Amino acid sequence: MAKHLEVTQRRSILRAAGLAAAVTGSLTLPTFVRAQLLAPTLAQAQSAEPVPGGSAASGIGAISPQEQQIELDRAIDKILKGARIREGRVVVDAPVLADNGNSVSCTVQVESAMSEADYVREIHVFLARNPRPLALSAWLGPWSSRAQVSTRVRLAASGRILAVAVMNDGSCWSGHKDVVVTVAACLDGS
Amino acid sequence: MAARVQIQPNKPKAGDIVEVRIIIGHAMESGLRRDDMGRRVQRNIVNKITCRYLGQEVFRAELGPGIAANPYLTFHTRVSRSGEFLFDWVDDDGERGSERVAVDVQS
Repeated sequence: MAKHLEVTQRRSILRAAGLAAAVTGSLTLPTFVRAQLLAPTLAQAQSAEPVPGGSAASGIGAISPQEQQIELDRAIDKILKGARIREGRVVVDAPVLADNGNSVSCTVQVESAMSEADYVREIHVFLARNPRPLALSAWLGPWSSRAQVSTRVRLAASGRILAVAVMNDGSCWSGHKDVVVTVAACLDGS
Repeated sequence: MAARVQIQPNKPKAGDIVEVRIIIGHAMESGLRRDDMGRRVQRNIVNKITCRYLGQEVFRAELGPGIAANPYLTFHTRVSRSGEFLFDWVDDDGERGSERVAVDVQS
């Protein structure tokens, strides 16, 4: 699979090729990150008891990669309603290595003139490895003057922070950052 | 629910772009955590926050359970004259909070 597939394209491949294959194949991360992504989480290893709804008992880091991909696609679909997402114009700034997944600072910046004719209408932040991927939706306007939003997010596991910006003309642009988390959110019960 | 708002720079000139930061004291209970007895703790997060300046909405956000406890947000806006930034937010329990901060714009 090509390195930079568009999200919409990736979704159709996902349906066609089957989930497991797509999840493994669509990763564009370095090998060590990939290994970490695909390795069962601590919570998965510890919990044998299945729980209705698909998530394991011991923590939120404990859903399978397939389920995560489905959750992520569902969240993106719900917000963007199948719009074509192009890569670019969006920069996500977050630490490459986060000690604690409970609070990871994250800044999304969008390349835009922020004029009446051309501005960012919405910014959506998705956390690819979280059971509830949609973390933030923000609405801006030309008065914002700078298309930049910062927050702190929870990361259930090492993975991707994906940001999608919706422009006033309806076009969607995306950017992402892969973050390695040493201690995931919620595994310690806090 | 306590909150702190900061505006940078704090003495802007008319037409300046300011960075507005807010942090709200809230546990942001994700609804996925279990207590010591193994029972699921009910979700309670600040799910919506709006900011108005001179009567106009300048920023609106919806938060998910993926936002860290004590939600922190920053955004930018242009200030034209002295006025108040008025924040309003609500959590899953329907509890509302608000905070107002005056900005002194130098002409």
